[in-house]
Amino acid sequence: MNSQIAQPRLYSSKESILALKAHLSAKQAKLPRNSTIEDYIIYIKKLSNRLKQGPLDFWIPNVFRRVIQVIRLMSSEQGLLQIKNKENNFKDLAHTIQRQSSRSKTTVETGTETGSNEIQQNIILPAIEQVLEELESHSDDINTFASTHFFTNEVLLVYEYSTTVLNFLLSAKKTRNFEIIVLESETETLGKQFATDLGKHQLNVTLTPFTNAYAIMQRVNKTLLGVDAILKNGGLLMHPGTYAICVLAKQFAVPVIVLSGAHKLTPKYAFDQTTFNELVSPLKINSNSSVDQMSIGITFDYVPPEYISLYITNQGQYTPQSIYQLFSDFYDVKDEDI
Amino acid sequence: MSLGFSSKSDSMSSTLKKVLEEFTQLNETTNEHYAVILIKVMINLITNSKEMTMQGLTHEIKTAGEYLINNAQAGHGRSELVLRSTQTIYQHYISKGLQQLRADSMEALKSSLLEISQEQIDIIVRSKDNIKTQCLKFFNNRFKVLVVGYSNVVLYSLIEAFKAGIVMQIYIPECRPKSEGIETYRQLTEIGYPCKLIFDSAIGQVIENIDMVLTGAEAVVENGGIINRVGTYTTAICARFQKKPFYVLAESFKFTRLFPLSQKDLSDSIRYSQEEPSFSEKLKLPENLDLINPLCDYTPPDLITLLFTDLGVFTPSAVSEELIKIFNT
Repeated sequence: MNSQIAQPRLYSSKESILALKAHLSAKQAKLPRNSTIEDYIIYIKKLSNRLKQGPLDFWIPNVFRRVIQVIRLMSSEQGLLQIKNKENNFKDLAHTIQRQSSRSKTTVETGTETGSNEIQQNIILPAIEQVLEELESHSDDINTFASTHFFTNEVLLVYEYSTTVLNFLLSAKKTRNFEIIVLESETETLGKQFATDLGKHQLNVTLTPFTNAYAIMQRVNKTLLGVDAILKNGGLLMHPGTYAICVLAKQFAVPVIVLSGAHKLTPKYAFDQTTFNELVSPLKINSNSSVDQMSIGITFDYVPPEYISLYITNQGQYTPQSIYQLFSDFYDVKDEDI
Repeated sequence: MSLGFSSKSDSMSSTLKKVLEEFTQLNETTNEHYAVILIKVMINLITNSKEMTMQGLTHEIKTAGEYLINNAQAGHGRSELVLRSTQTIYQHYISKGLQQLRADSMEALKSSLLEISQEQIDIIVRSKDNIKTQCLKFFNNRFKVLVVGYSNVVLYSLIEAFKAGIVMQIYIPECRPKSEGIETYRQLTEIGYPCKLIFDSAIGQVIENIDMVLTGAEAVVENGGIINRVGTYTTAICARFQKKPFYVLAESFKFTRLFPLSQKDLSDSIRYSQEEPSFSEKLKLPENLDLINPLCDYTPPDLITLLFTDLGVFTPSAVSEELIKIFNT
């Protein structure tokens, strides 16, 4: 299977970043000569809106948010960013006090004379490179973090296809043995694909239909899941069917561990199944469906944070109570509305 | 010598009395929030202060603040928590300003302090608006909302949502003993909101039909829990059991450095209300009624889904970090 298509989210994130890079390099951006950092940020936000593929596309805005955050960090390091917009809260007070205390000293105003080209070279392009590198290497970092959580002869439960989980299992296989149970949902062949791919690497795999989940959950030590998006309250948008597995796991006190690259962190909130969801074509569910049959298929399952034990991302490991920290480091609050 | 001392303490007590009078007067004549009135009173105190040293000025501000907190007859039976948290934050920034300023004269120092105070007032006045902007994203048409207590911020957000076209069905418990739910009901029905008043005892029965619970807070404590009008804790338990989201709307000046672990850890002025509750005349009350009448209760953070503040939308566990940022910048 083409690995790019197997990871549609990573693929779209990477391609959009490469598009941004191409735009800037080929000077298609048509930015005026002395653009400041803010102008670049506005341009990137506009590009994100153009490339976005619908209201449920989180991955393209996520990666652009990350680029903007890295740009801000880099430019504040180099002393170029000036705070223009007041945030209207107590953080402003600290600035006022600092401003007052330095009134007697001469304040150095920097950044206004730096040309657009220099900004591009020193900040924008390195920021893009850094984000691209984060995307490329996310699997290795996840594997490092995750390997501490699994022991020999454990029975792990996985669901359908997840490339992140696949990469992790292949790397963990080198140091320990475990048994993997793959649950497949009846409407797609992804579960079979996953089991085949795992079996090719001589892993001990069992494939079971979804209906057996209750029966086998008692024998499972840990559940390993991939996600489509991690929301700001710790909730997850995942492949349909995952919610049922998480509820079952909670009932049997089986830890649910979520593996994900940080490009899936989405700073939005949802509390029910319908906030971020849409119906898919019935033909996708049942290719033999006729007019008088109603097949309902949805895009995501929303799983509340109470069902998850641990989030392992390439930026670190977090519990549901502490995942908000990752959001405040990774993105800026101002960019949440892209 | 002794004459000098007593005249100093006399002038102090007269200053305090003046401050209290000013506070009460502003409270009755204007419609502003207690926090804003407190800082305005402090501004006048600083302007009229005859102190010649930094220490003296700080001491005067501190004493006046304490006096106000203990004696201001805040209407609506509010606890002193709002005043206390505002005063703490105000003093923190004043002393920080005093530490970092290198002013040549008392006048320059005073004017810098006044600038800081005015900016704090601006922040407080704008905080309601910030909260409303974030709230609007969570409101949807035809939602059923339970609104606990009478909170300016909650009312403002709901009314602005109404003006933006979001109409929700509101359930309002009466909130005995002060029955402030009735004031909430009146203000919402005045603009045309479909509201239903319910008795406090009916909360458990009604809560399975609603989509979310909204409440304000008197104080947000360090672990992300809140102290609010008595009855909030009960509602939060019901909401948690029925898996309904419980949202708290609180401005950032309500963040306090308290850390209660249970209801017992609240101060006596909160656990025992100073006011006499009213009972219907139809009831035949016994002669010596032994009544427990707390003013507020403490809702622990695991019952709260999200806190909406002007600093952003947070899970309760994120609140303590924000609190540290306010006091450590």
